[in-house]
Amino acid sequence: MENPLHHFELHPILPLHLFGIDISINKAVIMMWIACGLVLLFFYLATRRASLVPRRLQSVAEKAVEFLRGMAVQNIGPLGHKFFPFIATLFFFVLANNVIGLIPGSYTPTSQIIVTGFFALLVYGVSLVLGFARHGLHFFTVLTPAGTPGWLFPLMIPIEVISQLSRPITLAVRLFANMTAGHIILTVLFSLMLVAPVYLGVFYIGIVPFAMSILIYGLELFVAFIQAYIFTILACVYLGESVKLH
Amino acid sequence: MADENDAFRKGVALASRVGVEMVAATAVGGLLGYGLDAWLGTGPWLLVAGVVLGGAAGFFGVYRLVNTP
Repeated sequence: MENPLHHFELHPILPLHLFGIDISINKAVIMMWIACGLVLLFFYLATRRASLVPRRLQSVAEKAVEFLRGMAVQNIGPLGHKFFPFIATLFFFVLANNVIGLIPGSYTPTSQIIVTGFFALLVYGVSLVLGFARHGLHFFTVLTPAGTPGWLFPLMIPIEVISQLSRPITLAVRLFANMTAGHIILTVLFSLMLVAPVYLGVFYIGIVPFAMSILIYGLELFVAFIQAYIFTILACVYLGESVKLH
Repeated sequence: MADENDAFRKGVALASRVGVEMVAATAVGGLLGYGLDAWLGTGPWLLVAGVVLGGAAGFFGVYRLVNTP
Protein backbone atom coordinates (compact mmCIF):
# COMPACT_ATOMS: atom_id res chain seq x y z
CA MET A 1 0.00 0.00 0.00
CA GLU A 2 1.16 3.51 -0.75
CA ASN A 3 2.53 5.57 2.13
CA PRO A 4 -0.19 8.17 2.90
CA LEU A 5 2.51 10.77 3.58
CA HIS A 6 4.15 10.30 0.21
CA HIS A 7 1.86 12.99 -1.25
CA PHE A 8 3.42 15.63 1.03
CA GLU A 9 7.01 15.14 -0.12
CA LEU A 10 8.23 17.90 -2.40
CA HIS A 11 10.63 17.23 -5.24
CA PRO A 12 12.12 20.00 -7.36
CA ILE A 13 10.58 20.13 -10.82
CA LEU A 14 12.93 22.86 -12.01
CA PRO A 15 16.10 23.00 -9.83
CA LEU A 16 17.18 26.62 -9.32
CA HIS A 17 19.88 28.08 -7.10
CA LEU A 18 20.43 31.76 -6.39
CA PHE A 19 23.53 32.77 -4.40
CA GLY A 20 23.61 29.33 -2.78
CA ILE A 21 19.94 29.48 -1.78
CA ASP A 22 17.75 26.69 -3.07
CA ILE A 23 14.82 28.32 -4.89
CA SER A 24 13.83 25.27 -6.91
CA ILE A 25 10.36 25.28 -8.40
CA ASN A 26 8.28 22.42 -6.97
CA LYS A 27 4.59 21.56 -7.07
CA ALA A 28 3.78 23.72 -4.02
CA VAL A 29 5.22 26.79 -5.75
CA ILE A 30 3.27 26.07 -8.93
CA MET A 31 0.06 25.56 -6.94
CA MET A 32 0.59 28.89 -5.17
CA TRP A 33 0.92 30.61 -8.54
CA ILE A 34 -2.30 28.94 -9.66
CA ALA A 35 -3.99 29.99 -6.40
CA CYS A 36 -2.88 33.59 -7.02
CA GLY A 37 -4.21 33.37 -10.55
CA LEU A 38 -7.55 32.00 -9.35
CA VAL A 39 -8.03 34.87 -6.89
CA LEU A 40 -7.22 37.40 -9.62
CA LEU A 41 -9.52 35.62 -12.09
CA PHE A 42 -12.35 35.52 -9.55
CA PHE A 43 -12.17 39.26 -8.91
CA TYR A 44 -11.75 40.00 -12.61
CA LEU A 45 -14.89 38.04 -13.43
CA ALA A 46 -16.76 39.50 -10.44
CA THR A 47 -16.00 43.12 -11.31
CA ARG A 48 -15.95 42.85 -15.11
CA ARG A 49 -19.48 44.12 -15.57
CA ALA A 50 -19.99 45.82 -12.22
CA SER A 51 -23.49 47.14 -11.85
CA LEU A 52 -25.43 48.91 -9.14
CA VAL A 53 -27.64 45.86 -8.76
CA PRO A 54 -24.98 43.15 -8.37
CA ARG A 55 -25.16 39.93 -10.32
CA ARG A 56 -24.33 36.57 -8.75
CA LEU A 57 -20.52 36.62 -8.77
CA GLN A 58 -20.32 40.34 -8.00
CA SER A 59 -22.61 39.95 -5.01
CA VAL A 60 -20.47 37.08 -3.64
CA ALA A 61 -17.34 39.22 -3.96
CA GLU A 62 -19.04 42.24 -2.39
CA LYS A 63 -20.37 40.20 0.55
CA ALA A 64 -16.91 38.69 1.19
CA VAL A 65 -15.13 42.06 1.01
CA GLU A 66 -17.74 43.75 3.22
CA PHE A 67 -17.43 40.92 5.75
CA LEU A 68 -13.63 41.25 5.86
CA ARG A 69 -13.78 45.02 6.16
CA GLY A 70 -16.21 44.70 9.07
CA MET A 71 -13.93 42.19 10.75
CA ALA A 72 -10.85 44.41 10.32
CA VAL A 73 -12.56 47.54 11.65
CA GLN A 74 -14.22 45.71 14.55
CA ASN A 75 -10.93 44.23 15.80
CA ILE A 76 -8.38 46.90 14.88
CA GLY A 77 -10.46 50.04 15.22
CA PRO A 78 -10.42 52.99 12.80
CA LEU A 79 -6.95 51.94 11.65
CA GLY A 80 -8.60 48.81 10.30
CA HIS A 81 -9.42 50.60 7.05
CA LYS A 82 -5.70 51.00 6.46
CA PHE A 83 -4.97 47.34 7.16
CA PHE A 84 -7.96 46.05 5.24
CA PRO A 85 -6.01 45.33 2.01
CA PHE A 86 -3.46 43.27 3.97
CA ILE A 87 -6.20 41.34 5.79
CA ALA A 88 -8.21 40.71 2.63
CA THR A 89 -5.14 39.57 0.68
CA LEU A 90 -4.23 37.19 3.48
CA PHE A 91 -7.73 35.75 3.60
CA PHE A 92 -8.17 35.19 -0.12
CA PHE A 93 -4.68 33.79 -0.61
CA VAL A 94 -4.95 31.35 2.30
CA LEU A 95 -8.47 30.38 1.22
CA ALA A 96 -7.38 29.74 -2.37
CA ASN A 97 -4.41 27.68 -1.15
CA ASN A 98 -6.69 25.61 1.10
CA VAL A 99 -9.40 25.02 -1.47
CA ILE A 100 -7.14 24.30 -4.44
CA GLY A 101 -5.89 21.09 -2.80
CA LEU A 102 -9.40 19.62 -2.87
CA ILE A 103 -9.26 19.36 -6.66
CA PRO A 104 -8.14 15.80 -7.43
CA GLY A 105 -4.57 15.64 -8.73
CA SER A 106 -3.55 19.00 -7.29
CA TYR A 107 -1.75 19.88 -4.08
CA THR A 108 -2.34 22.04 -0.98
CA PRO A 109 0.56 24.47 -0.43
CA THR A 110 -0.75 25.18 3.10
CA SER A 111 0.00 21.57 4.06
CA GLN A 112 3.68 22.56 4.20
CA ILE A 113 4.60 24.08 7.56
CA ILE A 114 7.17 26.34 5.88
CA VAL A 115 4.34 28.07 3.98
CA THR A 116 2.03 28.53 6.96
CA GLY A 117 5.04 29.38 9.13
CA PHE A 118 5.98 32.20 6.82
CA PHE A 119 2.41 33.55 6.79
CA ALA A 120 2.39 33.43 10.60
CA LEU A 121 5.77 35.15 10.95
CA LEU A 122 4.62 37.83 8.52
CA VAL A 123 1.47 38.53 10.55
CA TYR A 124 3.33 38.48 13.87
CA GLY A 125 6.16 40.62 12.50
CA VAL A 126 3.70 43.22 11.22
CA SER A 127 1.94 43.31 14.60
CA LEU A 128 5.28 43.78 16.43
CA VAL A 129 6.45 46.55 14.09
CA LEU A 130 3.06 48.26 14.38
CA GLY A 131 3.11 48.02 18.17
CA PHE A 132 6.63 49.47 18.53
CA ALA A 133 5.91 52.16 15.92
CA ARG A 134 2.79 53.35 17.73
CA HIS A 135 3.83 52.96 21.37
CA GLY A 136 7.64 52.86 21.35
CA LEU A 137 9.13 51.11 24.38
CA HIS A 138 5.78 51.52 26.15
CA PHE A 139 4.71 48.55 24.00
CA PHE A 140 6.48 46.25 26.48
CA THR A 141 3.57 46.79 28.88
CA VAL A 142 1.75 44.26 26.71
CA LEU A 143 3.67 41.73 28.84
CA THR A 144 1.77 42.77 31.98
CA PRO A 145 -1.99 42.24 31.52
CA ALA A 146 -4.24 44.95 32.93
CA GLY A 147 -5.04 44.49 36.64
CA THR A 148 -1.98 42.41 37.50
CA PRO A 149 -0.75 43.18 41.06
CA GLY A 150 2.92 44.15 41.29
CA TRP A 151 4.06 41.12 43.27
CA LEU A 152 2.89 38.83 40.45
CA PHE A 153 5.16 40.47 37.85
CA PRO A 154 8.05 37.97 38.25
CA LEU A 155 5.59 35.18 37.44
CA MET A 156 3.45 36.93 34.84
CA ILE A 157 6.25 38.29 32.68
CA PRO A 158 7.77 34.86 31.79
CA ILE A 159 4.27 33.49 31.19
CA GLU A 160 3.38 36.41 28.93
CA VAL A 161 6.70 36.11 27.05
CA ILE A 162 5.92 32.44 26.40
CA SER A 163 2.36 33.17 25.30
CA GLN A 164 3.60 35.93 22.98
CA LEU A 165 6.22 33.62 21.46
CA SER A 166 3.67 30.86 20.97
CA ARG A 167 1.43 33.10 18.86
CA PRO A 168 3.14 32.63 15.49
CA ILE A 169 3.54 28.92 16.28
CA THR A 170 -0.16 28.42 17.03
CA LEU A 171 -1.07 30.31 13.85
CA ALA A 172 1.25 28.18 11.72
CA VAL A 173 0.57 24.81 13.34
CA ARG A 174 -3.23 25.16 13.33
CA LEU A 175 -3.47 25.82 9.60
CA PHE A 176 -0.80 23.25 8.67
CA ALA A 177 -2.20 20.50 10.92
CA ASN A 178 -5.79 20.96 9.76
CA MET A 179 -4.87 20.84 6.09
CA THR A 180 -2.43 17.92 6.41
CA ALA A 181 -4.68 15.80 8.63
CA GLY A 182 -7.64 16.14 6.29
CA HIS A 183 -5.63 15.10 3.27
CA ILE A 184 -4.10 12.12 5.10
CA ILE A 185 -7.62 10.93 6.04
CA LEU A 186 -8.76 11.27 2.43
CA THR A 187 -5.71 9.34 1.17
CA VAL A 188 -6.25 6.56 3.70
CA LEU A 189 -9.95 6.26 2.81
CA PHE A 190 -9.23 6.16 -0.91
CA SER A 191 -6.53 3.50 -0.39
CA LEU A 192 -8.94 1.51 1.80
CA MET A 193 -11.54 1.68 -0.94
CA LEU A 194 -9.15 -0.17 -3.26
CA VAL A 195 -7.56 -2.49 -0.73
CA ALA A 196 -10.50 -3.58 1.45
CA PRO A 197 -12.38 -5.59 -1.26
CA VAL A 198 -9.19 -7.52 -2.09
CA TYR A 199 -8.33 -8.37 1.52
CA LEU A 200 -11.85 -9.17 2.68
CA GLY A 201 -12.88 -10.91 -0.52
CA VAL A 202 -16.16 -8.97 -0.57
CA PHE A 203 -16.37 -6.82 -3.66
CA TYR A 204 -18.96 -4.26 -2.53
CA ILE A 205 -17.34 -3.51 0.89
CA GLY A 206 -15.43 -0.71 -0.86
CA ILE A 207 -18.61 1.36 -0.86
CA VAL A 208 -18.17 2.04 2.90
CA PRO A 209 -14.85 3.93 2.70
CA PHE A 210 -16.13 5.57 -0.49
CA ALA A 211 -19.23 6.92 1.25
CA MET A 212 -17.09 8.13 4.14
CA SER A 213 -14.64 9.83 1.79
CA ILE A 214 -17.53 11.87 0.35
CA LEU A 215 -18.54 12.99 3.85
CA ILE A 216 -14.93 13.83 4.77
CA TYR A 217 -14.57 15.74 1.50
CA GLY A 218 -17.50 17.94 2.49
CA LEU A 219 -15.97 18.43 5.93
CA GLU A 220 -12.65 19.35 4.35
CA LEU A 221 -14.31 21.99 2.21
CA PHE A 222 -15.80 23.47 5.38
CA VAL A 223 -12.44 23.24 7.19
CA ALA A 224 -10.71 25.02 4.30
CA PHE A 225 -13.04 28.01 4.73
CA ILE A 226 -13.07 28.02 8.53
CA GLN A 227 -9.27 27.81 8.79
CA ALA A 228 -8.82 30.72 6.40
CA TYR A 229 -11.35 32.63 8.51
CA ILE A 230 -9.58 31.78 11.80
CA PHE A 231 -6.18 32.72 10.40
CA THR A 232 -7.51 36.09 9.26
CA ILE A 233 -9.48 36.91 12.40
CA LEU A 234 -6.44 36.09 14.56
CA ALA A 235 -4.32 38.34 12.37
CA CYS A 236 -6.92 41.08 13.07
CA VAL A 237 -6.91 40.35 16.81
CA TYR A 238 -3.10 40.48 17.06
CA LEU A 239 -2.93 43.71 15.05
CA GLY A 240 -5.72 45.12 17.20
CA GLU A 241 -3.82 44.32 20.40
CA SER A 242 -0.75 46.08 19.00
CA VAL A 243 -2.85 49.18 18.33
CA LYS A 244 -4.82 49.27 21.58
CA LEU A 245 -2.41 47.55 24.05
CA HIS A 246 -4.55 45.01 25.97
CA MET B 1 -30.53 32.51 10.19
CA ALA B 2 -27.60 34.85 9.84
CA ASP B 3 -27.17 34.99 13.62
CA GLU B 4 -27.31 31.20 13.90
CA ASN B 5 -24.65 30.90 11.21
CA ASP B 6 -22.51 33.45 13.02
CA ALA B 7 -22.72 31.61 16.34
CA PHE B 8 -21.87 28.30 14.69
CA ARG B 9 -18.86 29.75 12.89
CA LYS B 10 -17.61 31.40 16.09
CA GLY B 11 -18.06 28.16 18.04
CA VAL B 12 -16.07 26.13 15.53
CA ALA B 13 -13.37 28.80 15.46
CA LEU B 14 -13.13 28.75 19.27
CA ALA B 15 -12.97 24.94 19.43
CA SER B 16 -10.25 24.92 16.81
CA ARG B 17 -8.15 27.42 18.79
CA VAL B 18 -8.25 25.91 22.29
CA GLY B 19 -6.28 22.69 21.66
CA VAL B 20 -3.44 24.21 19.67
CA GLU B 21 -3.16 27.09 22.17
CA MET B 22 -2.32 24.81 25.10
CA VAL B 23 0.02 22.47 23.23
CA ALA B 24 1.97 25.27 21.55
CA ALA B 25 2.50 27.26 24.76
CA THR B 26 3.78 24.18 26.61
CA ALA B 27 6.07 23.30 23.70
CA VAL B 28 7.45 26.83 23.47
CA GLY B 29 8.09 26.92 27.24
CA GLY B 30 9.81 23.54 27.13
CA LEU B 31 11.95 24.46 24.14
CA LEU B 32 12.97 27.77 25.73
CA GLY B 33 13.99 25.95 28.91
CA TYR B 34 15.86 23.30 26.95
CA GLY B 35 17.70 25.92 24.90
CA LEU B 36 18.64 27.95 28.00
CA ASP B 37 19.83 24.76 29.73
CA ALA B 38 22.04 23.85 26.79
CA TRP B 39 23.40 27.41 26.69
CA LEU B 40 23.99 27.93 30.43
CA GLY B 41 24.65 24.29 31.38
CA THR B 42 22.20 24.36 34.29
CA GLY B 43 21.08 20.73 34.35
CA PRO B 44 17.42 19.98 33.74
CA TRP B 45 16.10 22.78 35.98
CA LEU B 46 15.30 25.43 33.39
CA LEU B 47 13.61 22.77 31.25
CA VAL B 48 11.37 21.88 34.19
CA ALA B 49 10.63 25.53 34.91
CA GLY B 50 9.98 26.16 31.20
CA VAL B 51 7.46 23.31 30.90
CA VAL B 52 5.64 24.44 34.06
CA LEU B 53 5.53 28.08 32.96
CA GLY B 54 4.55 27.05 29.44
CA GLY B 55 1.71 24.94 30.79
CA ALA B 56 0.61 27.89 32.92
CA ALA B 57 0.76 30.15 29.84
CA GLY B 58 -1.33 27.62 27.94
CA PHE B 59 -4.02 27.45 30.62
CA PHE B 60 -3.98 31.22 30.99
CA GLY B 61 -4.35 31.60 27.22
CA VAL B 62 -7.37 29.28 27.16
CA TYR B 63 -8.85 31.07 30.17
CA ARG B 64 -8.53 34.40 28.37
CA LEU B 65 -9.88 32.87 25.18
CA VAL B 66 -13.12 31.65 26.75
CA ASN B 67 -13.53 34.83 28.80
CA THR B 68 -13.47 37.26 25.86
CA PRO B 69 -16.96 37.76 24.46
